[in-house]
Amino acid sequence: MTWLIQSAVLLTTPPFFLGVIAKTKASFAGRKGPPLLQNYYDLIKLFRKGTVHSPASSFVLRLAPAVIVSTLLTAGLFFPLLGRAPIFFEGDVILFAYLLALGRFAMILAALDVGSGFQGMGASREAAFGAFSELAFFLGLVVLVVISGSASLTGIFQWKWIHPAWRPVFLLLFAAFFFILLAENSRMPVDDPSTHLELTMIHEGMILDYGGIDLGLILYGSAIKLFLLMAFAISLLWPQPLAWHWHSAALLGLKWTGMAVAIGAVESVTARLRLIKVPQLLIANFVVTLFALLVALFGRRV
Amino acid sequence: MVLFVFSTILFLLASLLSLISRREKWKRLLGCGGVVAASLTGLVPAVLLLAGGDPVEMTLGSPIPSLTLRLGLDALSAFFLVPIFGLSALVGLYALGYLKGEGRWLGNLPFFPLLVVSMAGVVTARNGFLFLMFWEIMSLTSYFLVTTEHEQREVRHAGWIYLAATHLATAFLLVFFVLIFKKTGSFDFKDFALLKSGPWTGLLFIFALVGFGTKAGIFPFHIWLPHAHPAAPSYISALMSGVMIKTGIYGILRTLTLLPPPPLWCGEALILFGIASAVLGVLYALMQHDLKKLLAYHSVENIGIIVTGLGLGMVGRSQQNLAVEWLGFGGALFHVLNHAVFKGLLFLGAGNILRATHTKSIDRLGGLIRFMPLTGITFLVASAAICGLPPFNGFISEWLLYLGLLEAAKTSARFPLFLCVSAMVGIAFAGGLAVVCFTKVFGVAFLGNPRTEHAKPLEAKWKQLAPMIFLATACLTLGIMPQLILPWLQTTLLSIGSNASPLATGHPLVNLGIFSRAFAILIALFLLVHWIRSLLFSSRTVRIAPTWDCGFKGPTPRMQYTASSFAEPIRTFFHVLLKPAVSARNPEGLFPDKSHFEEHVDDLSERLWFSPLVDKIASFLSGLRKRQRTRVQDYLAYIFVTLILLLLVGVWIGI
Repeated sequence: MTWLIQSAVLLTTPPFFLGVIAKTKASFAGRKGPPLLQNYYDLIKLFRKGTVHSPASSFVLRLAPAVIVSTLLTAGLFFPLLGRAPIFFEGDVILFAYLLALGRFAMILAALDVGSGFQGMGASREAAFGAFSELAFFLGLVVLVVISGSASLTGIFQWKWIHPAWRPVFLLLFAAFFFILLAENSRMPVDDPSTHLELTMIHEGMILDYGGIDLGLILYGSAIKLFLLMAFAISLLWPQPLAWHWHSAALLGLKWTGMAVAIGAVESVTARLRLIKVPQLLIANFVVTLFALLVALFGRRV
Repeated sequence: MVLFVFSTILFLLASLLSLISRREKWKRLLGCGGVVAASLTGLVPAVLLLAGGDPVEMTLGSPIPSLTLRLGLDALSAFFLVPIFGLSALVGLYALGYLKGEGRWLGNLPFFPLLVVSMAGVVTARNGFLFLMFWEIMSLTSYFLVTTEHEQREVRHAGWIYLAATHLATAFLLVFFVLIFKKTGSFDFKDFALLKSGPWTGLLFIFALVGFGTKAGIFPFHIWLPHAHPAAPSYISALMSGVMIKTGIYGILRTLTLLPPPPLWCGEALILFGIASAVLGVLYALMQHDLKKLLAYHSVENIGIIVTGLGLGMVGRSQQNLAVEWLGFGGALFHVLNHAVFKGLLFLGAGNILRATHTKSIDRLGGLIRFMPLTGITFLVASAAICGLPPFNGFISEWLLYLGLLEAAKTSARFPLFLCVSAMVGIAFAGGLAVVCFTKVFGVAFLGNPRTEHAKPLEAKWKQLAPMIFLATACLTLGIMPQLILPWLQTTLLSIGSNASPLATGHPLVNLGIFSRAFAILIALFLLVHWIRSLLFSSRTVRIAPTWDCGFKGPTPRMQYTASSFAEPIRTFFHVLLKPAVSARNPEGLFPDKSHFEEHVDDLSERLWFSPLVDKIASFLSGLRKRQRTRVQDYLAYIFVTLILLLLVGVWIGI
């Protein structure tokens, strides 16, 4: 049962929240904005198209979309979205993080496969920023494991579903993971998802040479990644109930929409940073996580 | 044990026959084929023992009354013998193809079987004296193999550095064993247990750490690796990096488990060295343009991960935390095996590239996967494995280690907690940087378009590819079915006196079988998505057209990102630490003539510690040489003063 529902939610809902972000940004800018389901229309359109391959490219370019989507879907199975995760075991947080890394590995190689400077530029930045954001991510994991005593996502997010008293640790961790979410999904202060100016972009730069079904799969993959990291961030403040009930689906919709609105708001009011500042910001985020660790340790003593 | 002795004899025969045979073909066949046959023979007793056999010992004889030379085979030896013999057999097969038509390299081939047999000797010796003998044979044979291309100046230089470093290590080990001998009156490993715990243990630990650490390549004693590996022929690099440096790890494990339980700070020091090696190793690897030098630095990184695991195991043992002990030692041992598999594979792949393109510089390569598909695919598998990505074997050992660190973080406080958190973050960061590094290597060398016009590179022959395919399959098998290795780890841990056994059977912490399920889902999903994609594409048009380049028609290979540009964000961030030396000439004027850009990064420990140290020693010695007069009386005086000094040391300090 959990298997089926969780897979269905994971497969179908992610593009919707991208629509929510776009809508929020539009309303900040005083526009009407695209329909909420625009991303589904885009994906359907892309899935009906052929593609153009570069003569420089190899099987890496052709396999990468499937790798990206499958790693993210698998990672999603470890997350307690609606009740307990379909698969959970001690240490699945590490597997979760490394599955995301495998997707990134495939993406970077696919970008380098076409032999162009633009893709190389995007790939180089993605690789470097990915390494820096891993610092805060793993430190955050330590904090969570120390607090909850469990190294499994299902074990970590197992508070009673009213929402844990908003302890300072969780606020700090939420801030850190929210920023990781923005960085990993190439959102605003790090990267601008709406621009197509090659010299400044990261994620969009890497996928310049993709088209048709492959591009559709990659965009779909990014939507799932956003969905999963939103899940991570919001579950810190307000975890999903561990026993499946119909209202957990409604709660999921509500909370994730709230997160999407928050991301849209952040994107509307911040400007993109200069690239050279991004690692500094990621390190600052690491420091925030460090504070969370200290707070958690002091809390443990008491 | 009979088979083990038989395999030793085969190795010696292979070396001898390859030395005396005249024909090139026979030399190669006997040398490499002998290694394959002997290694396979030697593999049998090791595997049998790990599968549940009893430890065996045998006495070689007593050359002098107080010294009995003994060899023994227990689970720890067997666990190291499996990669030694396994990788040697594969490397032997590879060398059979690799050395074809390389007559000038065959002169040093007889040392190849000797190197393997001396490594086997190191891990089976049960006596300090014998151990050092094998250790020295191993160092010397590998020195001769490193300097195979001794007509080149750099190779001789690299060989010289290696020889100096390895003897420095031996010197420390000599002191280590002599100290124990003075305390216990025996060189025998069995008698080490007689040693009382005390301030001596810490001192012994430091000697062991420097001695074994130099061989293993722990930062800051690693400086010989980035010199020796690029200089050696690729099959030797594979062997040295895959298994020879692991003898250092074996040494640490063996001695530290024989000696009385060392104080807590020893384990903590190991973790600190491990973190430093892991992070700095990969950081320096990222800055390299020479493929084999890059791989050598990655050995430093992986040794760092292993050493962190050892340290964690020791901390767990000091604190009597069985789970931490198991996960630390278990992760380290598993990583030893895994590193042999993927690093061996990477060096063999580097050998194929070198043979096909005649350059080690990554920036001159590109698009190789079209010409060498099998080398490319196996190299890709090994790259993913060394980054610790699922579903390959590197992930499992790192996962064990992470789990151990988290477990330790849950229960410890103060300094150990700080170490756990640093190790966790350090290894994660090293993993992130390894992804940068190997996407760089694979992306720049194998993908895109060739950067220089060279003759079409040819794929290697089957004798070279077959071992690589085997190793790549091993990467995947060990990743998907890690539970196969679990009994081996268990037996090995029991043999080093760990009583953390109940964990292996059914404890939720070490439920490795779950990975078969998780990775089966991953692979099934991948195949499904890919199948849907192909299905959709079958009814769509797919055109081939040049890479889109901003409306500019006709991008050239020179416009591709190079390895240096790829690593630029990291280098810029760490420039204070790395201090890259750049020599560049920008294009100037309306008709710019030649411009160039070159940069390289010097090693921190070489720059700040070893270079100045060696310079100081050299100037001191040259000053001494000026005073030297060729009179017998002076020499007698020197000898006299030395003897007096030694006597005083003996009387006062009692060593």
